[in-house]
Amino acid sequence: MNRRLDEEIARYAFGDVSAEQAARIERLAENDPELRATLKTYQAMRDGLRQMSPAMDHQLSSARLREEILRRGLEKSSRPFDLRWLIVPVAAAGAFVFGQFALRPPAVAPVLVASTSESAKAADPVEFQPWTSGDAASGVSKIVRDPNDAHESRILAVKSPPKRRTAKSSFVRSSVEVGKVAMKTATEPDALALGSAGPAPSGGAAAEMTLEPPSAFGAGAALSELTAPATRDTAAKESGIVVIQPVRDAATGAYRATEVASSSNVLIGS
Amino acid sequence: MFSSAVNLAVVVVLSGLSTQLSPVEAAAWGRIAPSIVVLLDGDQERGAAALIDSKGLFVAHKESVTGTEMRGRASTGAVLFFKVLSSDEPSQLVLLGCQEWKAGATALSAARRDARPGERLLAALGSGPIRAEFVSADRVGIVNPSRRVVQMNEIRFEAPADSVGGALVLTLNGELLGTLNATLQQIDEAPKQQSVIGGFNRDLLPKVRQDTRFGPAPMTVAYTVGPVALRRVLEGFRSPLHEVLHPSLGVFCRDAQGTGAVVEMVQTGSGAHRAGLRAGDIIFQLNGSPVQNQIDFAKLVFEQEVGSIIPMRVRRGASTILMMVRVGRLEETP
Repeated sequence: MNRRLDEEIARYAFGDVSAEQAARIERLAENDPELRATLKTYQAMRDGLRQMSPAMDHQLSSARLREEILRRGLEKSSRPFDLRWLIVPVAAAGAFVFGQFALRPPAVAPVLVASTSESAKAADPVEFQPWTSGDAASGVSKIVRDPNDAHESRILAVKSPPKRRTAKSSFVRSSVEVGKVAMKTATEPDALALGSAGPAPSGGAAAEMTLEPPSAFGAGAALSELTAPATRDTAAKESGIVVIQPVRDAATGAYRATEVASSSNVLIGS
Repeated sequence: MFSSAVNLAVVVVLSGLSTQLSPVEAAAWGRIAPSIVVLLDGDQERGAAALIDSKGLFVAHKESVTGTEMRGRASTGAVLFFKVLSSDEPSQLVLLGCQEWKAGATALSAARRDARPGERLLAALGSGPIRAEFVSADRVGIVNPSRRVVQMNEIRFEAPADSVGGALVLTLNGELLGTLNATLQQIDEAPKQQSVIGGFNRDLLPKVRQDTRFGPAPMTVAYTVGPVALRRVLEGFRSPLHEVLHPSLGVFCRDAQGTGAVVEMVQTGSGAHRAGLRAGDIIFQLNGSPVQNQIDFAKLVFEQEVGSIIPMRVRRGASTILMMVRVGRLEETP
């Protein structure tokens, strides 16, 4: 039972909650024996306090009573050998071990799709598959092209996600540490840069992997190879963005423009 | 009696000042005026058009044009006939041809450099020039209902009594900065209140130039298409087919709330569709430039050349995909 609920129960016992809160607590108490027991305890405390108090009822302020009830209610009961707190960490450790060993996939080479010369592409009959899986044996998948537009538009390469992290990155303990790993990896040469498109690299180049999107680690780890400062002018997020409506302004005769503070949810056509 | 006489004198003096450009501005307008024609709707002055080719090609905002044929008055007073040859929706510009045009005036070109913040400009209306001031070249305009992004210049000027929509905006060097496409609400609301100074109501006086600014009327913020778009439009208008080629990938997207632009819709048959882009993909790099959000993406697309094939990187789930995408023409995408 959390502290908040504990306080609410104490207030309920004293009759100091709204009708909605009271209904909620009663609903919870119906299904929770522990809650019911706590509630009874508080009610007994309240009755006891009232009986013991030498003061008149009107001198026994509700605030004082509530404070007393809360003070007593929040005191931890001493339970020797209570090991229930170990359940969560043990479960987490078990899940981690399970994930590391039982669910580890077989090692496969990253999928790289090679590019060929323009003339060869035009001549080959190909099927269009917007997505492809690689040939794990060779680490190179077939070329993927649009049969209708082999010259112009196609998926050139697919870079698979990492199946597992390196030893260095598998024991990250904080989002900051994750960020450092991401930045370090980002400085390494990119095997899939357009200029290097060609026969799939092998050996060390083939083993290069992409880190998972930083969002997987939460906002604190939002560092990737493309969000490093000074790599991009971010003026678009800071400068004025105006939405132009096809409505004439009566005073000026021009279209009406309105500034928007944030464009984050604005749908854009390009 | 005395105060009335003073008021009258002030009105007369300020009326004279209000129609005067500074000597520098007047000289600039003197050089530009032969290249400008006033477009007429019946006997009404509807707007202005600028000569962009010595063969008689003029450009005007579509607000200044009615129908497919109209008359115009040159600075010499000669009345000329114009025919609409082409139009460009994103910039709202219209190409007009005049067969009777006699070479002599200098054809205006798009500004070769960004104007400086605070630089004095001229806005040519049907009724003549007014002063304007350059603010910024780094505004992003989202044009509804198409949701297209256009880089825009922000300027400001003291709004005259007549409509300014579609006014030609020019530098003092005689370069075309654009046409006045849209106006923002006024910066300063205070002058709307009646201010009685010295026994007369200043709001009743003509607007005058004060010091380096134009006051006392509130400044109106306005937008013209940016230099990249304008140069592209003028180049297309001057081409044999008078066609303007704006780039498009056929993608609608939003901010990915992190890094990149998340694809909402891919238009069938577009370059992105052919490349295999899907809704839900997150575009994070285009032609080697990082994409922080959908605005970045749109700006980058707008800088591309129609027909070029460019690399685009997207995230799909936990995978990274490199695609080669052909840049299409805006009109080609449905």
